[in-house]
Amino acid sequence: MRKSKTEYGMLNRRKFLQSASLATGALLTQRVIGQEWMEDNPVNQLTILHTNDVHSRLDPFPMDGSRNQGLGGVAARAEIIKSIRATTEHVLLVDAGDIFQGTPYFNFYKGEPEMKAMAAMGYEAVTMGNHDFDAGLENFATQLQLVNFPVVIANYDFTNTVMEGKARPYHIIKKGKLKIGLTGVGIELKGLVPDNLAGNTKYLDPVVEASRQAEFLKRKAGCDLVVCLSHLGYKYREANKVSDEILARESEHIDVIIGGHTHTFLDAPVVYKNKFGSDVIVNQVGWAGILLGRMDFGFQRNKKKNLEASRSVIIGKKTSE
Amino acid sequence: MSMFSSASIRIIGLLTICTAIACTGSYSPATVQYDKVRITTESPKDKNLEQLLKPYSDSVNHSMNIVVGELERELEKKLPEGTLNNLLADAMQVEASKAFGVPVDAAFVNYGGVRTSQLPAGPITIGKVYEIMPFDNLLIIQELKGSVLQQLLNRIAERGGWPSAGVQFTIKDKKAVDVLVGGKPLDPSANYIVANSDYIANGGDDCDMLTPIPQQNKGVLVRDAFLHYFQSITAAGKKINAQIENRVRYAQ
Repeated sequence: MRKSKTEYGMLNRRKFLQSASLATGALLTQRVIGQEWMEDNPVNQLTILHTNDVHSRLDPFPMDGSRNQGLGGVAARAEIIKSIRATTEHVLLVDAGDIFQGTPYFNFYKGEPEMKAMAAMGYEAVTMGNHDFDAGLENFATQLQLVNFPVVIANYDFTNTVMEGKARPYHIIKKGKLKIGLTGVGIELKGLVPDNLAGNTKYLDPVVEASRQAEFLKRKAGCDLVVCLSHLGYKYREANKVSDEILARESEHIDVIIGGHTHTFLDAPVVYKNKFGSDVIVNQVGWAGILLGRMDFGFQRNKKKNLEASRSVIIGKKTSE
Repeated sequence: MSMFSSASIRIIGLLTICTAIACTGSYSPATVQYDKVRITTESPKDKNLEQLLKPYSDSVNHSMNIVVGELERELEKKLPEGTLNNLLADAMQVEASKAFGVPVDAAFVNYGGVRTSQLPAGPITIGKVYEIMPFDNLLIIQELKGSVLQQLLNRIAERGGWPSAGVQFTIKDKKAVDVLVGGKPLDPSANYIVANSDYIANGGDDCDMLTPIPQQNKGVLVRDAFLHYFQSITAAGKKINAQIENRVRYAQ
């Protein structure tokens, strides 16, 4: 398990704040689901913070009258993440790919400042987007030396490439009593990423590979929550083009899909039913780091008898604290 | 405590552990509260990140803040046709003609490759041109048979219309119809010189019909072609502008 320096530094302060934030958490959940929940104490909370398709947007959009002027930027995002970590016990910070390409920073430095900024913000896992291949696979592997978080991707086979052994199909992170299983999926490379950049990377079926990892994480590794970082895209007009929507419906053990690629600004996370009839939450927050996605999960203790029963998750807009 | 009850406790304890190891986690998600934190100019900034970025941004900004032209009005990227579409396709056609020293019949820019949807009126910097076209793709030309050009136009039609110069067509049932090249109906057996990025000529965006056809390449990046085009307009004492000309339209 990896922890950023910031997190270690926060530990004492966190313990101090723990009782206060647990009390707030209990109040919030009571408002949402009422009495039944209260019987299932203890309350366990996890806050997932997420970005996608930041596309080298290190500075805010310039103040030039364009639509997004002044929005985004890593310095402001870092400050927000820091303040959430200071008041929230369990935070998981992830990105769904296309870290690279889009501003001159990338043309000049090939991803070095992007990676350094993400390491400094304490990202804990990312998946790979098609544009992360843009300066070649070797460059991506080189820039990864600057970070301490893993690249999680189940459906790219990097055998006989410079990325061999540098990405993993799953990753487990513990947050207090909670065990979070992460996997990731990337988009079809053919017709999108030029052959000379993709090298020997083999694209495998994302639904098959993500399901394989999710089943392992849920049933063997005992994860309480399985999160799939996806760069497939939210959904497409072409009904059979694989997307987060299709992955959600055809999956069995994924609880959350954090998406990217289509630059979709979802008003709220969308809930789908998986093969078992259980809820899968899909979210995506546009692009360029204009928004930081936040999902605060409340957990209940599993009852032994209904492990295979379909589960539903009650979802609502976060009220101000 | 009796032996009996202590044993039951142990058994229950064991069962719990088995459940946890063999089957699944101890907890399931029950509630989610979501939020989107908007990062704005008012958001306070992390000093360490600002420090980390400074050497990079100083160097980048030094070159990127150079102004290369003045936009007469706001330009937009749109389907099937937009003012920004036309400006960029014209730049491809003009600059390809200059670079290769031949008349170029048609030029295209793939819609997804244009990474800015709107340019405000006013000065345009080198940095902005990098944002329009961040990719280091090369400007290439190919000699296409009319029938292959038609296939390419059909693919463009299927995708809703791309920035196009030198051609005019209508999109009907995902196909390009009533195609004019240089104002004349497309001749399937004629040869046309077509400018594109190497990304498209190598089969990107499913343009497989172009991959077998030889490319000419002078090492000019598409982005540099745009820059040269803007600089030449500025050098002529003009402002940058483009119009909607019904180059690409949807059938009624």
